Amino acid sequence: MILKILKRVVSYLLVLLGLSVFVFILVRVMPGDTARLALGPRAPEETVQALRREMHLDKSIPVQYYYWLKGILQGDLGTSVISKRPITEDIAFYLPATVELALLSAIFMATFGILLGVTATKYSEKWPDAIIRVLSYLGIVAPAFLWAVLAMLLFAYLIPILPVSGRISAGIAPPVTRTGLYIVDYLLQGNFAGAWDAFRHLVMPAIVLSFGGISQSARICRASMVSNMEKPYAAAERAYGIPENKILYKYLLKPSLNSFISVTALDIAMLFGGAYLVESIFNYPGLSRYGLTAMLNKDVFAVSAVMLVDGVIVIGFNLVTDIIISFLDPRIRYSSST
Amino acid sequence: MESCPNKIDISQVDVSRIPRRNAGENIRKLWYKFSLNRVSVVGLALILLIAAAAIFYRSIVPYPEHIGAMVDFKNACMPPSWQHLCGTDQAGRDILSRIIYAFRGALTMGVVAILAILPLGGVLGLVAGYWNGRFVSNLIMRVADVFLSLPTLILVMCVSSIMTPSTRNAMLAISISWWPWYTRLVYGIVTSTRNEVYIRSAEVLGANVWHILLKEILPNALGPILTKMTLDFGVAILAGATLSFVGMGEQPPAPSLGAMVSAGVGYLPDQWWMAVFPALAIMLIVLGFNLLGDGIGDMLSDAE
Amino acid sequence: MKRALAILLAALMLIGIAGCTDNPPTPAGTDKPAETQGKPKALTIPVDWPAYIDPGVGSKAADCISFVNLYDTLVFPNSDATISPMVAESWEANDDCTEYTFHLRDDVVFHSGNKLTAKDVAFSMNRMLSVGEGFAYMYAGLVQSVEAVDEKTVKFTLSSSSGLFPNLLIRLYILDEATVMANIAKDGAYGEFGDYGKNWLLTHDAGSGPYKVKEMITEEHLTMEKYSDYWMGWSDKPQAPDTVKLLGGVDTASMKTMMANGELDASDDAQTAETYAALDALEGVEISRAPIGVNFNIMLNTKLAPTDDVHVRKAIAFATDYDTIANDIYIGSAKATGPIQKGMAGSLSDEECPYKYDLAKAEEELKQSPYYNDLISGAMKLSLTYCSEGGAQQENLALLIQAGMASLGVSVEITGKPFATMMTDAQTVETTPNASFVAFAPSYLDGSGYLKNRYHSSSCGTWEQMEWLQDAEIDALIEQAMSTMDQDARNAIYKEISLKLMDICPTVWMADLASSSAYRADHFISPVAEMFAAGEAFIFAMGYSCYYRDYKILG
Repeated sequence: MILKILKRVVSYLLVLLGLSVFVFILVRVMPGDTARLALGPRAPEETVQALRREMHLDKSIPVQYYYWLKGILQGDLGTSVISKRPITEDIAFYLPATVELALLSAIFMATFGILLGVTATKYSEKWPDAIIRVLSYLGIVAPAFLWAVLAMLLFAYLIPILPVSGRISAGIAPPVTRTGLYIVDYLLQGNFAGAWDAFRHLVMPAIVLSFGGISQSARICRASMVSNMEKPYAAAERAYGIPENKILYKYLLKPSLNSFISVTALDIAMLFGGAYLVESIFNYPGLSRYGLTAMLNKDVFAVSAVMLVDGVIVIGFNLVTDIIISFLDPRIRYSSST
Repeated sequence: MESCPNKIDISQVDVSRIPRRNAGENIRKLWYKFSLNRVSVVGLALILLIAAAAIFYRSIVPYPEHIGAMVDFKNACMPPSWQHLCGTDQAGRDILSRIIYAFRGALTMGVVAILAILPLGGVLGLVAGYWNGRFVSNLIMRVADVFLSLPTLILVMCVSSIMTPSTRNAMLAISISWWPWYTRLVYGIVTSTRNEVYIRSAEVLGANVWHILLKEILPNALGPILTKMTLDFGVAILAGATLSFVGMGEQPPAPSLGAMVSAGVGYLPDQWWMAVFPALAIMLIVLGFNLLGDGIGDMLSDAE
Repeated sequence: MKRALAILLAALMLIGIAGCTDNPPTPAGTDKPAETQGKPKALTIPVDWPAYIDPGVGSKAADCISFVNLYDTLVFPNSDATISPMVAESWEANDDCTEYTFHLRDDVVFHSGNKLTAKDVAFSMNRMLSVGEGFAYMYAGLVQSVEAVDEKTVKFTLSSSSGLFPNLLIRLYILDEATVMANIAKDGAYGEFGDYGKNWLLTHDAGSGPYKVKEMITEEHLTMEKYSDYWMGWSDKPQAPDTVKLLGGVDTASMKTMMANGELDASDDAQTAETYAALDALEGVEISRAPIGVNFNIMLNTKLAPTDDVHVRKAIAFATDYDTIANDIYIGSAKATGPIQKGMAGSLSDEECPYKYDLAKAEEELKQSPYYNDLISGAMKLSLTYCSEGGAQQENLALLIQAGMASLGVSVEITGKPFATMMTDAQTVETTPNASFVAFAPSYLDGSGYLKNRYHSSSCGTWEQMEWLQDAEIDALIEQAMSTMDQDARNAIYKEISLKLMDICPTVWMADLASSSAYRADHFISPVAEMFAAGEAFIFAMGYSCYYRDYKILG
């Protein structure tokens, strides 16, 4: 079992190395003179040359890669052209915001996904199932940015009950940073009003972001539960007179969770990078918006850092999912001990 | 699976001589299964309708000149009326005409981007699956893993931010980012059928590797590929719309749905029609492909 | 397991309820934005982000707004394009205008409490030149040395004579040497000066201006607060805001909501006519329009076919619908009469500018071009780039130009690109498109502020000159003008250059832009709004329309 996990870890590390090469090449073919862009068109040539040397941009591509990778291993991702400060500082600010958003979306995704999935199973082929089916199509057919726009129209103009921009309201001091997650930080400080405010700012982008995922996880949850429902053990449980809800939530849900978890986990991992437009539209200071700005401004080191971070998150999620699934499924859990 | 009874025969009989069922009958049977699901038929009708509108746009659009280099600021931002059913945009152009024309770009975007990568992704998957465990297989699948470890949207955006914004480059960016999904899909199917008796038999008979790959293994993968493709047309259209939403797609004056939404967002809520109608158009086209994809999926899985 | 979950849920709900009931007693913790009644006088203004608040680094509009409020300069630009003494009480030049001596006030105190002396002025100039970013190009190659003669006297030695050196000094923001040197990072690119304080100054100020940095969040906002010991005092400005928050990254949709619910006090100036109309309809919101010296141009690449032919360039200039631009796209702007903003010394009158919307004339010009057949047949196309970050107006404008040329039978290929890409494209002749939209604002209000940056060969390869004019005669005239001491003689040369440029037609001078702003008239009054309401003629150097010391908060 442990050996199996170790093997996975090694293979994921290899993918990570490949990812670093890929990201580096991708970003290096971006046209534009990084040093010149950093200093502006009017900066004297000597200053630009000096910066080019400092960034190792005057060396060959493999050598540049070496320095870049070495920097990363030492925790140095370079300096951003836009913010003009170390990219690690930028990431330290933007990543927690995205994590907070993604976590809340993930909670929505899992809760509503399971609830809707189970309800659809319970009323399979009846009208609640049909409604859920339609809802789940809605989540899939429109990209998050469309929902963001519509949600904005709805909540900002027609029923203005939720804030539409930023992480906290104007005039509220941000919390003392402990985790970087505002809600948690406010709670740690005992500032419940602050936590509530931060939560209200998060709700709309989180719902919008999780909409597609909810649809998908509800569909998958329903599909695998319906197929388990036909298995003899479900019929047996029903024959014993076990209440329907108990059968659903206790005996059917768990074996149906495997495919649900593997799909939903990937969806959640994708949330970290997929929030581009949602973050932009809600003016939410997250990593994706930062990445998009970096791309438009040809901030190559920042782009590569964002892509790397996103890649690490996805790979990490895959690894964790593998482990969780192998723990959940006794066939896999016990396979190595036999 | 229809080939099951033939499995044993295959080692004795010339493959090409297996009596094949009448193709027409097959299609009729599939269509019957497909048509049982009303929703899927709606999806098919939707797609056919949109495709027809896109192809014959010249005779449908109320204001053909509003698609090209034309501005009429006197009539900018007019609300929906009988003259302009969906209103006019910031340059006074008829939004309905532009939506109909934009269907062309959206359909092309989805269909071309996915069709273009199918041969590449598919062949790589076949190769990796057939020689599973060998170096070449590992290489292909690890490279695919690298691509898949990045959220698709980020990859698409990063690739297209390198190039000059245009429809062609947006499609290219989508193709570059998308192929590993097909490689992985085909790989999975190939590895699971790789050790079936009929494949082994064909090998023993000394069949050409490509014959085995294309004639014996590939047909198994066609169903899932077709289903995924239909669904992916929709997803690729969304990706394309997202790209043009941030200005990395079709350039003005040619209309594109994402860019129209993006332009319209700044005019919310007063000129709501500028964002809402193109947004509905995106939903409609993607909904069509989703319903159709689900229908095809059900049809083929029922067939088994 | 289930029970634990239930308890946890209950606890969370309690926290939620507690959070709700906590709301009223905590004034800063409500979900309503901070209202102003009985509170500190505050302003929240959206700006283009990121803002670089280091005067050695920044030069964009948002940067300038911060400089103007955080720092003092030797001279101050007035709203009629002249300058007045500020930190410098007086100055004199030697006969050939190669040495300028400034006499400083002795009551200027930095936010640190240190006194501002001549050494600080010299330090600021040297820092600017060494760093070489931002406004440094205005002084690079001109200022040979700067010397603190005594505590109150500073002397600039120039490498060539300059008649307008004091005008240039509105961009020399004076930093406190002691504060900067106390905060340098040792291992920087500038030898003994380390990083010259660049890292520290990203989020701090070292100035003596009426406002000081209260909080700078690199990602999204700068909050400035009143510097109570400001040397000019506050007694005559009782209504000046106590704090000003410059907020970045506000998109159109949130701008509308935030203005409607009072989270924002003004809009930025990159909105469409419809947006301003929608904002104007809000209660208490008014629109003001201020000329800020921005010249909106189509830069035509004079070294790339087909715009290397003067007739093609003139055809574009005649096919441009100037009235539509002023009436429907950039509302409140005026048709430009040439490279220098109309009305400023050295600019041309309406009659002196031959270009008007006249398709017959455009056709006539086009027919004289050797490219005529290729252009009409579609074998040759014009490439036009606009800035995709420049708001919906730029796209509308591109469509207008495209439609104008289409009526001549010439096709124009439009591409919207981020500004960073436009800058990269501008680096070589081949990658510079036939036509590019650029809004240009001079760093200081004088004819040379337009001509030198736009048409002198030294600016080729930058976004400021995508014409690639490289005309020796124009270069010489610009240099001659800038070394001329007599103001009238100087302006006469500006006019001569402008007229010559009319013949070459390297640019379509579309509009002198007005900076529009929707603002909460029930909350504050700005000098711009006052002058606009009074119908006065005025012009502000970039950033100076946001000199918050002159703003008045109502109520």
